[in-house]
Amino acid sequence: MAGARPVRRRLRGPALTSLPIAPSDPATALAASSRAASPQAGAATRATRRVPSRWRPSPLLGPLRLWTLTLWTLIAAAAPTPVGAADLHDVIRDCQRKVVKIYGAGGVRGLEAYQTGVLISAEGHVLTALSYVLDTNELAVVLDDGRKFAAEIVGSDPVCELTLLRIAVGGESVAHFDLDDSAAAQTGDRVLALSNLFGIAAGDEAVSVLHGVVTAVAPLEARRGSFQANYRGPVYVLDAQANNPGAAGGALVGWDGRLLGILGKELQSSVTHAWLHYALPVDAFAAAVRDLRAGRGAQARSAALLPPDDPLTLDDLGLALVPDLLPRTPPYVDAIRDASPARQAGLQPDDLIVFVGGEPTASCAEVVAALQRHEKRAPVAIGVLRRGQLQQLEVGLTLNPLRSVRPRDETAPADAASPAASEPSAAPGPAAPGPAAPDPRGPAAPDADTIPAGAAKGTP
Amino acid sequence: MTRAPSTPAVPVAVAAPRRCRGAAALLALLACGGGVATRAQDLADPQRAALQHAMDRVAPAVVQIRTVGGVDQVDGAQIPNGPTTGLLISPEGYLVSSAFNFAQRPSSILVRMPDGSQQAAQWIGRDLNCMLVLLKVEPIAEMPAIETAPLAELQPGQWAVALGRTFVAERPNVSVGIVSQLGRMLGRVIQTDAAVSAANYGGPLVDVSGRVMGVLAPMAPQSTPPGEAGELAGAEYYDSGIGFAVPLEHIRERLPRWIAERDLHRGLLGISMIPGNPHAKPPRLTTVWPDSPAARAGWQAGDTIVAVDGQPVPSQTRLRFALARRYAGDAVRVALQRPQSGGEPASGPREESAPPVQTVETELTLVKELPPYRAAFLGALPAFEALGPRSPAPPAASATPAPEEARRASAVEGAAPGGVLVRAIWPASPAAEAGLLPGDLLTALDGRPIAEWGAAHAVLRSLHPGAPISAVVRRGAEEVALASRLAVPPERVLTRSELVAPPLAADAAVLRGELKLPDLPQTARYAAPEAPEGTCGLLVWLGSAEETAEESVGRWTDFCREARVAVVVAAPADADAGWDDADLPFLARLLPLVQSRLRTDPLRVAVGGVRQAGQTAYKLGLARRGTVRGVAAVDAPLPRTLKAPGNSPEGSLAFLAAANDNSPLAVLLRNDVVALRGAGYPAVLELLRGDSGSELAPTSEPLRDLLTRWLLGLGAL
Repeated sequence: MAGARPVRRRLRGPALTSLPIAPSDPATALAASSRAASPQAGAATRATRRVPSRWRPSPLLGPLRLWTLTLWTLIAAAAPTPVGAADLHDVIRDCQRKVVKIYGAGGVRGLEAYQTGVLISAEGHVLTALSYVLDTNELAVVLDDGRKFAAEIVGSDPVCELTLLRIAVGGESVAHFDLDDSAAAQTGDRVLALSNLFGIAAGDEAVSVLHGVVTAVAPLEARRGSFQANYRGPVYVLDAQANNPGAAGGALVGWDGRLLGILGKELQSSVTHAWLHYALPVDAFAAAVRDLRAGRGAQARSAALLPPDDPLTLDDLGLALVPDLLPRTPPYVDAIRDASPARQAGLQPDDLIVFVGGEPTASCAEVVAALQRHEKRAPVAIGVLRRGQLQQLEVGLTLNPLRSVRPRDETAPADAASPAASEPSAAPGPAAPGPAAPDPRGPAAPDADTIPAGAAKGTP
Repeated sequence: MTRAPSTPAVPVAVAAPRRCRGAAALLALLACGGGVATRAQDLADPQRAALQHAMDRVAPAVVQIRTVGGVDQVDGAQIPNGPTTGLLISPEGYLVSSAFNFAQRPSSILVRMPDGSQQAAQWIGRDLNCMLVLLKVEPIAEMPAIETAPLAELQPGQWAVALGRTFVAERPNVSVGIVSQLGRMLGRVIQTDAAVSAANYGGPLVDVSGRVMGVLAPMAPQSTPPGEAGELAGAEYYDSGIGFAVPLEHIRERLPRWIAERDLHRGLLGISMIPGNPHAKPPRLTTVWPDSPAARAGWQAGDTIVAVDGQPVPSQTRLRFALARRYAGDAVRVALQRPQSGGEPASGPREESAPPVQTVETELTLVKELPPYRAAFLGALPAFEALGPRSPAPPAASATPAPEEARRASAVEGAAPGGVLVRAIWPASPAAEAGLLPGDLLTALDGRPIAEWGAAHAVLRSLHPGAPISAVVRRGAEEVALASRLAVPPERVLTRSELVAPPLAADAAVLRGELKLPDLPQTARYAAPEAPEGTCGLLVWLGSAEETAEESVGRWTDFCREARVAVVVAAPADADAGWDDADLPFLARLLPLVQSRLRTDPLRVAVGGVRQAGQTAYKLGLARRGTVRGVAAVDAPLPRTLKAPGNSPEGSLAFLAAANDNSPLAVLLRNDVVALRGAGYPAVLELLRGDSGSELAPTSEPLRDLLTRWLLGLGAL
């Protein structure tokens, strides 16, 4: 018996028997074998000392050892998890553990006394929708395994209409979604909505799962009765019937189990007049939730659009629309003031204004509101329908280079005279200085030499 | 001494000798095999990619439409004013959308083209059979092309993606589902479970290859109406798992015609068929609308349709399937089976065993609307005995050998053998001009043998005023042939002297009783003379709670005997509020109950009332036109919210409007009667001379007299 052979003979038997025949996971097989090996490992180390010194690893084993080590590492790294439907089942099960059932105020006049919430921290923070259900001292949260906790409200964000609760889990940690490990969805992605819609799950029953597709990522234009939703940012519109009584506050997850958003409340879309199934994306509320967890109040977030300081009005443009008698009077142009910016741009009576600054306008009120979102100084693109043809026109007060806005200045009499002189035929603009303007204009008008110079100076 | 074989603490493979290497390789192979098998997550990606590709193929053809102007409400429902969706279907710029999106009749339509530019669209027309609209825009440089999925290749269960462009203009909104079934709504649409709502009406339904299956539109699942549905019908089903798409294949077939004709209407034939279960009953005609395609093709009551364009139609439902996709102007070839002359028109209650039939091939062109129907009038009043018992005649009557058909007729009807008895002739009527006399036995009308009055009415339903009519009567022992032209129904009620109607004997018993439905609060009491079955008419008088009291119903007894009607006096649920629409369901159930219990003549059924009750009588009469034959409204103008539908052959109603001649409502009533006559109904206005200020009540003699005369004239041929 040479040196290496007894080693091989000794290793072969136990090596084969300690490994399972068909490992489902070679990594676990390796772990099992090493666990199996450990009682003998101790024996081996003891035995090693007693191994005859003739035993020595052959030089050939060096590169061989490296090769097999590499091979096994690669296999372990590429080892996939179990196949097919079992995988989705695990994902769903895993997510269901992170969604909780909330019971609170309600139960009268058809208002349900339950909704859904999502665990977002190991210490027991629960995120849910801000609603009347939370309007009670006896707010209860029931976990997926049936454990019931009393909940206290930490804070609410009125814009997103979300509330953060806290349950006293004690020392145990609970499965939770990590808001930092969330994902963003796109139109067409397949998603799962987990919620306790209709309160059908109670006690240790898991919440319900619905499947669907993200129909659109669009701004929320929705109302309930006459109340508009506060949040106007983008939401995920879903084609699953995810928004039902009790579903508000549920989780929207992708098929990989990552949180995409929180299911919204029962609202009607202003666009389609149909019930809207939607979820608030994580991006919309992550910052607010961080603030609430840290104990900071809801920070005033800058509004997307601040109204301009000096908004544009119809009068500025010299435009009058038909009387606004109906709820949605079509915005036909009734009259245009002579020598006004509207006239200059080419607008005519009986034009129908259909776009203001790229925004569609279907009524007189919408035209006025759209104009108010524009500064007076800047030109605005207006689309009109004239005899069935769409015309794009640009209207602006600054397009009229002859308009005078500077008041008469004692220190610069020439300036005062010439800008006025440079408007021979234009009617006074709405902001033109009042009484001073007509006087210098009259006598200075025939003086053609001063007009170009005045024009240069008078141009704002 | 060897110890137990030991293994080092490091992973076994590190020191694996050659044989263990083989085992390791085997295990590696197994592990890799496990890695190759896909996870659910990996399977989702190819699906996602396929659906995304299908969407991207069709998305350029899905356009966003905005409308300006129009009404705010249609049928009481608020119309959403957000953007809607359309589908470009031809390179010339024609695009299709759902009629729901244009229910408000907007004045301007703007379309956002695939390159982002906006255009005003031109309205071409509507397809009223599928509720779609056709618009036209100017083509841009690169018009998107879509591929049509052939209907023959579609199967329930395959992927279906519904696209719209409502929320965001730059990307279409998508909903994924499957094809639920094909050929829904009488073979017109594809059903899908993708979320179809106002967010994608007018958009395409796409299969997984990116071919367009159909254009999404709302439809109400329960309704397969004979007429055209409203634009909003079916929109309330948006969250129900049911949605419909009109196949693009069909739209493309019709496109050249749609462009030329602008509005496409459902094609109509102009027939009515026997009642019963439409899935089981054959399409046998009972009425042919005068001047309709069926009339011009020579169809007759009693014919049975057997094939349409070569396809057999064994049931009425199959006929509807064959015709639902036809449009006005389509030519159809229809094969009929006509019973040989000598048989009876199929208004008899029993089927003849193997009657001889001839097959007739006809060709007709469908129309979009049938000409308004006007009731035709002959002027013969039936004898009450002729309406007769349904039991067979006593054996003595058949002592003389009667002809084969007569014996068969008497066995069936028990009426006077082979004809119907005329009791009176309306003065200055076509019957009078033809020379018909009271006491004649009418045996044939318009060439068709008549065995009972229902058959005679059926013949007249297919004719219009001014049409020539021939009749054969038996007078004594001889047969006389008469001819005349039908006229418009008279505009007055018969006077006492013209009536030939011996009242029932004064001692004839009048049964009284109470009628109540178990779940409804309204009550009714009846007074019915005891008379052979079918000889008494029915008057449902909508009265008040006091009038249903035992003694006040007793005051109708003489009236019953004289007018030969059973009177049912009903009281409304709410005595203070009086009669209103909530009482109509009770009345609807009362009618068949009374008729089955009292065995009244189905041809003489009238409802009446005073003032508010009279308006309810109008509503009931127009709602139950086949059952109710006359409406008597006293001091009651037509309800303003009620639009009387045009007259139809099965539902011809006779109206009586009565008031005091100095009543302020007289002018209104005159206008109402003119309007009803314009709609084709026989309507009479009678102004009674009464004391000024006195109200007409059922107890007042002039009203009683008028009602008696009117009821006796009801059911005139």
